[in-house]
Amino acid sequence: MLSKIVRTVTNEFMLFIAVFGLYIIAHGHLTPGGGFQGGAVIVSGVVMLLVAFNYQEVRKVLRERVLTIMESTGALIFIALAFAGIGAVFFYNFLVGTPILGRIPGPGPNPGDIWTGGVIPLMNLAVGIKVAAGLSAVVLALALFSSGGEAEE
Amino acid sequence: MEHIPLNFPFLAAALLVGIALYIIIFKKNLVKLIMGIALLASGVNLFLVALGYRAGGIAPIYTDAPEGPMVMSVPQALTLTSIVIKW
Amino acid sequence: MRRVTGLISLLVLVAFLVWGVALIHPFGYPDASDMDDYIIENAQEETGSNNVVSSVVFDYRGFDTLGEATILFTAVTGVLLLLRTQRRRKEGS
Repeated sequence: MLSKIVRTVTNEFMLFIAVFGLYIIAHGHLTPGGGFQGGAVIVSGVVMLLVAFNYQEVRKVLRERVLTIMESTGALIFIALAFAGIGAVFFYNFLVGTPILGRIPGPGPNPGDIWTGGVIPLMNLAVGIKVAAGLSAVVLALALFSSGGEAEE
Repeated sequence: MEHIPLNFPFLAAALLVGIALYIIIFKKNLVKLIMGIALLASGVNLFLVALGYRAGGIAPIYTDAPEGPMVMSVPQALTLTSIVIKW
Repeated sequence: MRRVTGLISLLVLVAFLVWGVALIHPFGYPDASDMDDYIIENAQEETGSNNVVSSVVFDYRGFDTLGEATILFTAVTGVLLLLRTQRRRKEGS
């Protein structure tokens, strides 16, 4: 447990870091970024929480079972999206042209439109959830291991 | 051998790989060994990205892009995969 | 004796690397770039996204991303498995 100033500032900053990570994940088809990079930003926010607070306090909020379920769900959604276009080839982009996410941007440089991209933004979200949950579980297990493993139920 | 003055990024990547190999072979401390492996991965990633550069190029993104030819995009995708595998 | 042999072989290896690097195409003028020209021309109509690198990673070469997600999953499972055994051994004894 660090001092009270550090704890208060960490509580405030966690919100901004989470919003920044979700922005990088969601705009993966317009600006540089995507699923993997946004997931890494969110994991760095969780590490900041672990440094400022005790391990027991963080463990009450982020249970390990929920994290592993979220990681498996992300992987399953990714594979389901890959199989959904199996009519033509395996990874076919079947949402281009349909009115869900399928507008086509004009040729050449243009200011981006977020409702474009077909199946790519959904894949970005699935991979972002998978990376964030998986690496958070690993960081939690390492923090437990390095603090001696006492007071374990 | 007349291409040597122009190929500085490739030479830097080769030197990084050489230094990393020296650390892996000759040091016995475990933490230094892990740092040597990470340095080897960084050298390979730098070489991969530097292969796809076009002179006077811009990033391969169409959102508010300035004028100019675009650099090659496939080496950057392969470097993304390589960085994630190193985690 | 072993250190001297190791140093000499390392120097020979680095010399091979530097000599091999000097014979590639000059920096900034790649040759044989037909696949990338086709991808940069047609990525906006076929996939509908502005980011060409993102469309290469998830659409043109999506199979590699599937393999990479599998590697990430296997690594997380391996680490959690090892540390769980440590935890149980520490509290059992």
